Amino acid sequence: MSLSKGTKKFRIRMLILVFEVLLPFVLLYALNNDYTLLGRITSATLVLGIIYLVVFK
Amino acid sequence: MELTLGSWLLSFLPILTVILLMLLFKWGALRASAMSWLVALAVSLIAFGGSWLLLAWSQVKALVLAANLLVIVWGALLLYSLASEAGTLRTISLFIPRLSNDRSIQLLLIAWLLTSFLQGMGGFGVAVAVAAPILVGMGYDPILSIVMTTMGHAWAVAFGGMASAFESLIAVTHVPGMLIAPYAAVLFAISFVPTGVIITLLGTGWKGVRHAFPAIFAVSLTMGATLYILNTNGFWSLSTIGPSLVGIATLVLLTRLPGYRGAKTAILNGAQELNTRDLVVHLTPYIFLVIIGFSVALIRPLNAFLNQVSISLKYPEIASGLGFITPAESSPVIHPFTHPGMVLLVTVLLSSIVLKHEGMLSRTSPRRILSLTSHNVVDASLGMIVMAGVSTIMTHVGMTSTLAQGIAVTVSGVIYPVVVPFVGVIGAFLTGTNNNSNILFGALQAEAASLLKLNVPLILAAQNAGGSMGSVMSPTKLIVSCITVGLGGQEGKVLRKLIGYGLIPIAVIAIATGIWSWLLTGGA
Repeated sequence: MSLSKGTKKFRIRMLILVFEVLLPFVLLYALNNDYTLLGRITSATLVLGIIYLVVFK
Repeated sequence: MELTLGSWLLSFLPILTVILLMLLFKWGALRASAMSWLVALAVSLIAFGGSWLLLAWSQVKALVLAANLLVIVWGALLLYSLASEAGTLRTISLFIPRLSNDRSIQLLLIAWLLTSFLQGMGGFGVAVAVAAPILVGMGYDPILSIVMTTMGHAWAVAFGGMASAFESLIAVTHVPGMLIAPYAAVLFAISFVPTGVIITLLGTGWKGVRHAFPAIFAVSLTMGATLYILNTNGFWSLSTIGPSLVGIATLVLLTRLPGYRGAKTAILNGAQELNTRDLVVHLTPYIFLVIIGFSVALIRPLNAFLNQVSISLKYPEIASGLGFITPAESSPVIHPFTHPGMVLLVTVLLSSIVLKHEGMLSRTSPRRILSLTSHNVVDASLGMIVMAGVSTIMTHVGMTSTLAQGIAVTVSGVIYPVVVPFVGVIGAFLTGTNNNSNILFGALQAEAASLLKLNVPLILAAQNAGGSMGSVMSPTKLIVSCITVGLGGQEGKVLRKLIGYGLIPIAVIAIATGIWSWLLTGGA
């Protein structure tokens, strides 16, 4: 079953919203406990989420 | 970082990004805010000693900041969806002509006075979310409807929500409220006439302005006097609701005059005429909003009982790589049971029961209401979180401080009072609230005024006024406003229209502050 464009957009933005809410806390945890790889992945995902909002209006 | 022209321009870059992208390129607020976030992050990492740990803390603080407002926005959008589903908005747009069939009087009542009253009751986003769709229902252009309702309640933000923004200003500057409040009342009162004139001009043209000017003047006079009396007696928590109610009463009285008298027309819902009981049922959500809002705010024992539960987080000291320190602090205290978001939620629940009982909601209505709300809240939530993120990144690396210091250092004592409201506007545009603008710039404005030997309470009143009027133009508020009239993603277009008119009352306040300050310092 294929989703409509509007539904897809809504779901992706919902996912980004969840990321933007959760990831700062994960990043904080990773940096405070020296989990370098987790920190890098988290910060990259956080920034990529924002880039998505700029690129795909 | 040392204050130079380069560091100042870099600090201004995120704000400039939002403004240019929205005004020149007509980007939506969410997209422009996201770009501004990337710019703020890049500038902070490259030039201001930002780090990923600093980013993490600033984003956590941004989330807490945004959450406080998002609860209100979600509640406002839920109330809007409920009213839309039950046909309430349509009924109100049919009811207004019964009070007066004079278009300019209707416009002033909804876009100026109703929005101001709702701002006093509900705060963030509620005023436009309720009033703009009503104007659209009455046949006004959606963009104009947002511009008029936004301008109408711009003054009301400063003392709305139990004057929380004003209380923050007092808290960060330690200047007694009784000293600032009289100046604040006069500065806002001066802006009333231009605000009323612009709204009428936008809605009905110059002919409408000429016709409605005596009414605008009378309402401005009674509202200004009420605001001054309340402020000078320390009742600033009522300084939005009080003047709004007096303004509504004045305008309703004026509709009895021959020039403004309304024709008693029947209100038809479809083919059926609505009787008074039906009308009251249709207005249930707003009646509940007023009753619950008033009860929670003004019944002291109830307020004290509900305020027993409070939430506040503690943050550690955060230092940037260049040594800019944000001291350890606590987040603003949130009282969940007296929060406007809770008032809205209870209003929606109680109204749903009544409306369902009256047959105005079907079995499938809750699903449609929740679906409409959830689709709307995602973009609004993202926009607010991202813009709050821009603001906290800038604050934690010292960009905000550089901006304000640059203005304070370079501008002379004569010009500074004129610039003050615009600094308040920048703070509010960036953060979305007058409250945060006052927290960001309040202490700095007081310090600069003291150094320049200016009247500190007057300068703080001007900062508060600028913050109030700037907050309604912020991208975060525009997202919510646009959703309610079906203009989601077109915030740039609205801002283009709004900014020209919106800056007029601010300019009036700025000039008045300049003249008043000059007179107080003996013309030196």
